[in-house]
Amino acid sequence: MNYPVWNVDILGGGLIVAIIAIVHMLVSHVAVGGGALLAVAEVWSDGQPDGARIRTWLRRFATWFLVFTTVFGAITGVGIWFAIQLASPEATSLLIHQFVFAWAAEWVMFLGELTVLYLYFYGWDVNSRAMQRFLAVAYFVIAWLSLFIINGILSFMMTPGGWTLENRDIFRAFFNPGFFPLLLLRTVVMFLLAGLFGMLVATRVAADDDLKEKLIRFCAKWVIPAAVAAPLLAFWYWTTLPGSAVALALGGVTGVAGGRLEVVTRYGLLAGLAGALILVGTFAMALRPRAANTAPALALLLVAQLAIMGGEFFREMARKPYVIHGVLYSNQLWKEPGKAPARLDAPYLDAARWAPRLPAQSPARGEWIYRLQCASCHTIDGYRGLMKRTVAWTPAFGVRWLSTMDTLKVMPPFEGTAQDREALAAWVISLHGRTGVKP
Amino acid sequence: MTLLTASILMPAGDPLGCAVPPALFLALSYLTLTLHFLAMNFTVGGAILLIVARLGKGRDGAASVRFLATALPLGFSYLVTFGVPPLLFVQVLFGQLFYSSSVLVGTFWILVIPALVLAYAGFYYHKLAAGSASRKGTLVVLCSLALMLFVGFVYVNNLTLMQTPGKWLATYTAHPGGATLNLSERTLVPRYAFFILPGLVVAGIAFVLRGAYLDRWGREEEGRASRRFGARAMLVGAVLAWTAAGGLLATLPAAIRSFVLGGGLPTGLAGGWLALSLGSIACGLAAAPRKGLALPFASALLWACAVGCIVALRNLVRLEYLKGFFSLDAMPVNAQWGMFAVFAVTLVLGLALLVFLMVRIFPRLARRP
Repeated sequence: MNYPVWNVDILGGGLIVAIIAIVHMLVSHVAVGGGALLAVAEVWSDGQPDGARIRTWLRRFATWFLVFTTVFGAITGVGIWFAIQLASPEATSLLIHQFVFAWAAEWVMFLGELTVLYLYFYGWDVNSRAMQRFLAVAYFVIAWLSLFIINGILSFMMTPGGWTLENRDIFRAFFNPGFFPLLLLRTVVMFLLAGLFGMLVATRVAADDDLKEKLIRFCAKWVIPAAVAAPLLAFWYWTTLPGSAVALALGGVTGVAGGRLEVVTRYGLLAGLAGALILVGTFAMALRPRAANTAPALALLLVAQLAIMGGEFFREMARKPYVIHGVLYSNQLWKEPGKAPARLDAPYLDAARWAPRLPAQSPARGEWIYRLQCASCHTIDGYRGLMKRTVAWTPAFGVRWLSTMDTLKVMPPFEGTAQDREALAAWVISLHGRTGVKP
Repeated sequence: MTLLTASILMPAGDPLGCAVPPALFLALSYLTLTLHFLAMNFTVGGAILLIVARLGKGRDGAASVRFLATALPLGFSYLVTFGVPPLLFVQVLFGQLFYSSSVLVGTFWILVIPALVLAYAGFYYHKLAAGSASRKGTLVVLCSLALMLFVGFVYVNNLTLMQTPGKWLATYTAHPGGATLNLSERTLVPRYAFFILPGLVVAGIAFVLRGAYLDRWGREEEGRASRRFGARAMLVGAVLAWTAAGGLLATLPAAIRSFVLGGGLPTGLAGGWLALSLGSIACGLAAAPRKGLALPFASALLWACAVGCIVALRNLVRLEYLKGFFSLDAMPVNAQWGMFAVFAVTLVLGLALLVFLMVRIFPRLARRP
């Protein structure tokens, strides 16, 4: 074990990453799509008889957009970085070292995005119309390029394609099999979210104002085509997933006490329901725009947030037992060295750097094996808790399960000796108040 | 000289190695970290001055409040933005140290994120929603300032723990959830003070510069008040920073102190910092009673160079702490020159666009009352 494992009670490190990532996904996609909406609305307003009033609304949209995307988007983006350092330092290190100049180029986009947005927003009263249009378009282009770069890194984690640790081929890593479908899917989703965010701001216009009708219909046009296209692109992405991920999602896996992981069914239902709600809700608002108010508009955004949550959990589930598919397990063990029997069968704590020196028969050995080998994904009685999953364990069953858990395809192989397995099983059983000594 | 014991644990470096020679990453890191410190100092110092201005009476105070209400969210934004590349490069160069220490203080490290969100939101709330004279506005700025100070304190804890791996195993076995800080570190408080207190200097320089431009645009009374307010802040901040520097030097382990004061590049950088900071303050004070842009710009430039000296010295000191156990020279280089070129072209084009836009728009923006 190269790095210490962050042991977070109840939540677990993985769930903390997920919480930050889910919020960031929504905000960052609004940040890109909203740029497109700003640019199109700038041009559109010029051709409208009430263009000046549309631009007054656009200024209000830009104010909310600026605060929402810079405060929540920028900081949660950094937040994901902080969280993955803690939950998966080995994987973070790999992503940083392989893609360092992609990250650096993405930072240039980030710097550009912010500066252009500030010049657009703060320059509202001093810039010419042509300059405002230029800034809005420039903002969108830069923001989308930022998405382009980050998409290469994120899609790599699921579908590394022809990249290996030996060839370190950055071109194949970046333009991996999942790159283009995911890029298009994200692009479509960002239009959808921008439309929903725009509708939310538009509901603040007085109900008896004609402008409200116009604005809500304008925003709905961003949502409806995107909501139709998203499932098709999601299917394209599905076709690029590694075979083991597809098998895991389609076949389901029976956990020892965690129930069946019917991944596709579970997340398909969530995505379908969320998509249908967004479509119906947007149609309803477009048909009766004057009746639209803040609550349903906010509800639609929350539904979108739920759908994003589903998508994130689906991806994490399908990628199991890896954090970088086929390369690095979720518990920071490398697949290739892990395959070597000499390492898999060696005394675990002797090789793990981060455990205290313990006597051979110490009951604490089991706890430290859990801490360093299991706690990346599991907690004791919270998220992915051991207590629920091991309620029926006996010493013999526990040892056998640990020996074969990797055949379930959602768990990595156990690293350690038979004594290590016994120590871990005994400690797990002791959590239930029973003796863990093998009969 | 080594401060570490042979039983130290040191995680293996990343198998992918370094994408360009480490010296190049160090150079990029020095540049961006200097910008980060300047933005951070401006925002922290500006928040202090905003509270002072809000509590004060009179027209000058109200003008300062307006200026800072707009400038602080921007300062905050750029402190985050310029903080990203050094965070990236520290992971490339010192990843096995940085990841380890971050996990050891993990609970506090992750709390940096909500603290940043709330602090940032507070500055926007102050700008967009709080009345210029409301007590709530002062309280919100005070909360944002406290949150930023918390973030800085966590950073100093993590970065001092990072360079003292002798403490790691005991820290981890006692707190595997990361709910601890590196409070036993002798240099912690003076180091924290040394990086935070210059905030008053940087915010002061901003006021002196603002005053010089206000003079130029015919708002002389306002300009004079701004220059004087800024110069006073600079002087207070510099005295505090020099005191903190003395404290930091006194608490460094004797071997590291000898390294800093024993001649050569480290002593040159420390001396350079002192001389440049003295020069900067002298220019700032000289600018207070008189018009003109030369002295304020000289003051700003000298201070930026002083910060650059400290950034470089900080890295040398870190390497000295780790001598015998970690060396950048031992890092394998698996060159990615093609990707470096992509980044360089992106950077040049991006900066060219931003400079073009700033030149076109910023003067008109800044002139607004």
